[in-house]
Amino acid sequence: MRRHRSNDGRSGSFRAPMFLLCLSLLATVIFAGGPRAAAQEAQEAQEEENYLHHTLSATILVADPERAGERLAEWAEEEGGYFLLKSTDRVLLRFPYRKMGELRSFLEDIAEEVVDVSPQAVDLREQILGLRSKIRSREEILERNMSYIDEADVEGTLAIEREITQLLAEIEELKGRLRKLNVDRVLSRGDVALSFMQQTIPEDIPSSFGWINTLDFYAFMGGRY
Amino acid sequence: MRTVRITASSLAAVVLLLSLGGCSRVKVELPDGFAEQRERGLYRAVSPEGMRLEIRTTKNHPRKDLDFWSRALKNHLLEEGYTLVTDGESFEAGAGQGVLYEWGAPYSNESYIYLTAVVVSGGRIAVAEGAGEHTVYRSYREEILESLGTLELRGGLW
Repeated sequence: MRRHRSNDGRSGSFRAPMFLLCLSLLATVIFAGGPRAAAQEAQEAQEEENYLHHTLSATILVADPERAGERLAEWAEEEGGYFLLKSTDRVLLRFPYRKMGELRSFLEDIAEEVVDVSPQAVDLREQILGLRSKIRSREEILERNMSYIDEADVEGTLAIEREITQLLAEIEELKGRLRKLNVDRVLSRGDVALSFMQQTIPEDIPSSFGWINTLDFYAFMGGRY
Repeated sequence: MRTVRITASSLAAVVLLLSLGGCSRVKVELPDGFAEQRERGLYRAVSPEGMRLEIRTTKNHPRKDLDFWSRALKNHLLEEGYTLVTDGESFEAGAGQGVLYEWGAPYSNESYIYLTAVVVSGGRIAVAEGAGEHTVYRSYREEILESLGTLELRGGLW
């Protein structure tokens, strides 16, 4: 009994420091992780609120297109994205939409000449809401059909099963489209031309002014005079 | 009879003078690193890489100012499908104010920059063209702009 009491006393004296230790650990976790967690929450909230799909088309001129393509692909991967296509003429990237400004700066860094940068954004809200409501309505029908199965005869069960299969396929397809749109909300698309090779060759259109008609790059290169 | 012969040759000389008198002589400092080639009615400078700058003159007809001609040039090349790289950079030439445009175009599997510049001086227009693979062009751009800054038009015979 005494021993027990004595044990109790020891455990009582042990609990107080443990409690303080836990408190200090909790405080450490709160204060250390707090701002980071808050920033992450803010970021997630921002992503949740972002219904825009951003795209950036750019034409840049570089001295070494191969190296520039590699650097762009590396940049996308470092920033949490990836590349879809990489060649000496063109690079297609997916990257977090928050990095749009950084991509522009990066292009200026690697290019000898930034010929054109055209950002665009498409609001996906309507498409997303449309898909969500389509999914919801199909899920409701699916649920109703499932409830009929128990009461149906063999023929009815087969008919319900066919409808369920079709509904499931439709729901999966709609969910796939929704997932794609959600990815588009988070990841922007970058299409960077590393040369003028993608361009169509200028046409020869007559001008009303004689001397302007003589200006032609290809005629110039061919040594017109 | 002799008098008639003199008159005919004088007339021929006058006709020749009149036909050539329309040409203005382009006076311009050679861009650094270029070699000069002059042909009738044309000033040409060529770099060791083969990049060319050519300047010629034409009559300012209908007589319009620099703003008109530079816009006409820009609109025409845009309509033809060139990619505008530099949009209307003004420069001061000896002959007056000038405007230059740089365009992008694919050529021989490479990206080229095509320079077009126009300087209006009274009844004459100086038209400059230059082109080179973009890295070569960039390496000479400053020299070309400096050279265009010295451009003067002088009436005279070629």
